[in-house]
Amino acid sequence: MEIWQYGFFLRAMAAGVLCGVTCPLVGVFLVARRFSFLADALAHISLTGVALGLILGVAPGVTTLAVVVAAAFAVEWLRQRQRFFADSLLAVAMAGGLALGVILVSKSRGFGADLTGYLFGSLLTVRPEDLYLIAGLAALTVAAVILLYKGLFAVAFDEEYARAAGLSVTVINAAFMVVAALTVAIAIRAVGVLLAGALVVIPVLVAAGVNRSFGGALWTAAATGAVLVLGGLHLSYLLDLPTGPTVVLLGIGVLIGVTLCRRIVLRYRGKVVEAQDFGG
Amino acid sequence: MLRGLRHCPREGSGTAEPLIRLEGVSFGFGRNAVLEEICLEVRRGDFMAILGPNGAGKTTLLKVVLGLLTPAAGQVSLFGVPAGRFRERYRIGYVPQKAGAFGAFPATVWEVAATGRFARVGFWGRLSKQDEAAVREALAVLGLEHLACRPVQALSGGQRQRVAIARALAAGPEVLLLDEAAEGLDAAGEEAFYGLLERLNRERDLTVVLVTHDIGAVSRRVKQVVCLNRRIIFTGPPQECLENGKLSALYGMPVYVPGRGTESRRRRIYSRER
Repeated sequence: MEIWQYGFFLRAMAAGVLCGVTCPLVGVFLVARRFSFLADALAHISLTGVALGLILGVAPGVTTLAVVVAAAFAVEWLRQRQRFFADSLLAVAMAGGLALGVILVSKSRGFGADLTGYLFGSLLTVRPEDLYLIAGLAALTVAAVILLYKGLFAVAFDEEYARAAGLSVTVINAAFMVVAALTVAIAIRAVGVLLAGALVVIPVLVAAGVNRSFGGALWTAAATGAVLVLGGLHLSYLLDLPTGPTVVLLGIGVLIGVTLCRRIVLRYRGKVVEAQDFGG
Repeated sequence: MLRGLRHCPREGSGTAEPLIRLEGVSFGFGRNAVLEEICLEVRRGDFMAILGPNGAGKTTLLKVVLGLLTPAAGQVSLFGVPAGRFRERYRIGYVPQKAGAFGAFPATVWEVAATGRFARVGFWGRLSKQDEAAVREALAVLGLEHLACRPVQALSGGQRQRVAIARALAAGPEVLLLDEAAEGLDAAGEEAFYGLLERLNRERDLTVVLVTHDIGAVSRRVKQVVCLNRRIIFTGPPQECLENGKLSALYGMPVYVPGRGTESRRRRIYSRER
């Protein structure tokens, strides 16, 4: 393709693949824990970090990471103490983070031009230094998921059992929150604050629909994420559409397609069990 | 043998090694006392049922033993070590309430059962051939070998329950704690389930402690019964428990256990027909 001759597009593809692989790797554990809204909440809270960076004159990436990690720990701390229902807690965190972010944005100068990029992603404007940062964060996240895989899996499936068996659940959860925060920071670059949750969750739902094992779902989700971002990137170029929303809509289309195919196949085999159905 | 005595004397019958010992353990949620001065000893080879009405503290008692809850008073010792310093938690297998509810996310029977080995392997370790053999053996004991690659979500309730027990057995525990693990099984499944526990206790010398409402089923199988209602009301052989009116005292109403000794008005407290 002609567009592959341009450096900015190659950088966008590289960043897109990194985001597409990393986000679902973490998303698998979030979805299995029925905590997938966390990614959305952290993404919205990140707006506060971006605005803080601009106000304080610090690189927004640094303040975003700090704010998102702090928020992730706060959410986990409250969840552990069962002070609130988990989903309500995330809704409050999301609304609060977004509200604070908007107020800070209104007080900062020169943010207007970048706002669309932060809200909906800006893969096509990725600079070489951005790409290095994304690659570094992605490597950290993938390494953490591989190293902590056993603990993350055990906790995702049965946290109480994991505690009773003597696994360091508190350490696993803390590490996972850091990894989730890193992932959200990466996702924001690809699809923006408003759509980051989708990149974390949609490939996972696609993978869960076509896999029997957790390990299979994990790697299928990562591959699906990469394909979705690359596909969305090319579609957005060909149809002259914004990249982030195109990636998300493509993902939803694939999810609907996979769910329908799965239903047809299962019905054909006579194995549709409504109570055990997933993602559809 | 087991003793549930108020002052926790160490003397008494039974020479087997004590695996779990609770001395004057109390626990409460806020101002609500759930357990009061519990003294209990579980020795190697015991097959024990903990009975009691809803809210009696049965699950709480297990959670205190497992270190999931910290007692307000008293001491818990596991394998002779104070619970706070006990690091080999995998020596105690646990089958939680509703253990078969593994959620809707795909995972195979093998993957779920293998989590039983994770505490032994540690954070960084990989499952060795020995670990894999232990998982395979646990699945074989539960008759699940042929289902190893099937997703747990596709199994029946009874099969999922067996997966939960296989997960606990894969760790190679010396004690197995089960919290109403037969809940949701039909009569045949329940019979097979208790038969399996009996076999594990007899053939593998696995110490079994189970919390249950199913007085009829366990009274035919277990060696000891503990009647709990915040305090321990009775400990001893099931026959004695059924014959001396302790069950009626425990539930606060006349109790009839199908197929066993009767008490006064022969009423059923357990709705399941056999």
